[in-house]
Amino acid sequence: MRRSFLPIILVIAGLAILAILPKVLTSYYVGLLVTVLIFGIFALSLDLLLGHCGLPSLGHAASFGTAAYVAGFLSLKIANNAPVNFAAALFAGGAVAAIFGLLALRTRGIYFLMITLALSQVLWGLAFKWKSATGGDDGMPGIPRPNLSMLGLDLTPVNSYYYFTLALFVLVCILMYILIRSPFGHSLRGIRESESRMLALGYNVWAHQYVAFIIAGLFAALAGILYVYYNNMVSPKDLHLITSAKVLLMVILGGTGTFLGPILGATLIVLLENIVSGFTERWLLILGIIYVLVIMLAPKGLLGPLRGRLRRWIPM
Amino acid sequence: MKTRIGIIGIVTLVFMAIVVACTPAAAPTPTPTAPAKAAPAPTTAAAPAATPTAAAPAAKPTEAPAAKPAVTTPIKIGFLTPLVGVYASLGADMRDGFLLYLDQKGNTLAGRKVEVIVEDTEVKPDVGLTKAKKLIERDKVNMLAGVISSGVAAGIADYVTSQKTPLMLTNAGDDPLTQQKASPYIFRISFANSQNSMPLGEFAYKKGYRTAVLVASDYPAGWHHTGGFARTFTEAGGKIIQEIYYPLGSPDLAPFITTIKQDANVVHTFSAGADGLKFVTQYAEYGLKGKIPLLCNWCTTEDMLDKEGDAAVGVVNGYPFAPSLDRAQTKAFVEAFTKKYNRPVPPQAEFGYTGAMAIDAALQATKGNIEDVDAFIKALEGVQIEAPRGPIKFDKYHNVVQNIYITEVKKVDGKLVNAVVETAQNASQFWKWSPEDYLKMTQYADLKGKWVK
Repeated sequence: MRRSFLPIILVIAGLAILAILPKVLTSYYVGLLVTVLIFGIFALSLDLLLGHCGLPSLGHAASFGTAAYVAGFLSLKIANNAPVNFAAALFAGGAVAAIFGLLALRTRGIYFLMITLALSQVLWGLAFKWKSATGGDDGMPGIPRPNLSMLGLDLTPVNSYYYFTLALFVLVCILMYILIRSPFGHSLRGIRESESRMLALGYNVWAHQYVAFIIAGLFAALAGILYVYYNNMVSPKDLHLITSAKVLLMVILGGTGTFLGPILGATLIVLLENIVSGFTERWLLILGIIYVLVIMLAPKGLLGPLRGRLRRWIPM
Repeated sequence: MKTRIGIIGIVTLVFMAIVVACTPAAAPTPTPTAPAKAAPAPTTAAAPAATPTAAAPAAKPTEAPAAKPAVTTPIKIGFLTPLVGVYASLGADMRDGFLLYLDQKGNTLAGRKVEVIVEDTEVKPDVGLTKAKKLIERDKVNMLAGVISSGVAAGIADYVTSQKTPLMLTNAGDDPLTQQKASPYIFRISFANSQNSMPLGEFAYKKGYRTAVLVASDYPAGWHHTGGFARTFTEAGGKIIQEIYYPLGSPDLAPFITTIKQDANVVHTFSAGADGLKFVTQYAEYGLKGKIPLLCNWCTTEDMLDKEGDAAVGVVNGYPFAPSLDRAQTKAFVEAFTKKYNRPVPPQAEFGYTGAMAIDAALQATKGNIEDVDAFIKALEGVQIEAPRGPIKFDKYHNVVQNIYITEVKKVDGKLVNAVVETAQNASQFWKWSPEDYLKMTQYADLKGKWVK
């Protein structure tokens, strides 16, 4: 009995800490926390592909950036209608995943990595060149926060935006938790371990992976939307290989196929990027050293050594 | 599976490293950006302790700071500048100009110590915004200064205004920032982009040129500069026959230069930093030099001039500053900069220097009380100084009113200099129009691609 209560207590404690943090931190660090939560969602979505399907996507920024651009464009140039813009941007991110999935899922392993990379760079090129719509290299500055005045919410202060993001983050975690524990999640891991066996058992391997690809795209799209509204601007960097690679590293650093791993990885990299870069321009070097150390000392990611114990509480 | 994930991670990391090294903005420029690297590039650069120089008048000893408790804490200024990429050398020069002034003043303005925190924008608007947030929210700077790229300036403008933090732009010329989108908190000591090029358009027509080709890096500064030239040139009766835009920081400009129509009377280009160096040298390599005269903005700044060599001779520019100016203030500044940093002095160094000078003047007027933002801004609005480049003041849109010098690259005693051939006195960003009429005209960003009729 005690064992089954512990995780619930831990989760509540964690949430309480997350809820209290903005009261004690300055606005800069609250802003960093928002970024951590957003990249946490983004990394969780990628982990669905990498950890649970064994599909290493190096183009996951495609859905993220597309949704960011759609949300930004609509809010800036059409109307700041939050529900419509959220829906349209989610749809766009999901649609990109649906199209790319058709092309990319014909391959596996390193070829999958290359083709997702190539496809996402196509979108990056589009955002870079199509100046009249995307603002080109300079992106689109001055995007307002989503207008939720009909709910009586003003998201302009960073603290309220933090709680908004936190609410969506918790929602994503719950959905992801249900998804991973569902029969669908189990079949995904089955496919990861042995495609041929699952095929022989009568599972439609392709359809499973395709649906997972689209779901991952939708979650990434949500992260993209939150990101663009937080930064008030969108630029081609959000579609770039660097963003895809960054989130891939977050997942690997934290530990693939774990629930907390990607969130831990996102926290680590966002903090490193912002805090260490204040002291030295060479923060990528430090990230590289940390990465090498993690691979050598904890090849399953930071959560790897804890995994056996965690497995009792949290699936995989 | 696990080892495979490790390998994928390593591949990704290598990819990231390669991409970081190869993206155009961070690409090694054809010439080493030695000045940027040789210069001390501290992330947190408080200029060294008091070194009184001849040029530095002593701070007024009569000032009794006892009345104001705020005086004891240092004034913090966040300085945004690119230290990598296409504008790396200009960025370093701008920063060093700014630090030079503070150094001359013993790092003390209006009786208060000044602490400067330098952050690298990498010429990317999103990075600039992240750094601006860090400076304002984490380091709690009293004001921001710097910024080379118009794109970065446009990216941080709304944020800076929302934070009510004064921003002194010491280069970025993005026109709308002091026109349609003017903010009470943003000042510009350098130029509005088209302010440099509108005199050039009239100059070109006066010289007898009737058809022109526009070539520019494809971002706001390029559209505004060539737009300003095209506006006054076509107004006078000239004709634009071709527009070419290339991506900022392109590794090779030959594909664009070779498409220039050979029957043009004149070419006008906006190509700055490493792009300017490439443009001028490749313009000569492809045989256009001597055939079609070249008018430009920023392509022969002093940081690149020596590397351009004879290819630059005869190129005509519109600049707010030239180190060859025959003024006592110019000479004193050029001498001080050369003495401290031992390298050529491009206009950006003067912009940084004068930016610090204007901040100083406003601080003197408010007795160092920068915490009262409204009073400080009022003081800045009234600033009138004899800068190294000439007399300057701000218009009511917070953009500088100054002389624009039309210069030609000449070889004097074996050294290349931008020699002044004509001066447009007290040119404002609205040139010969009234602000109201000017602001009613279509913006340059919307006119891009529509100059050819």
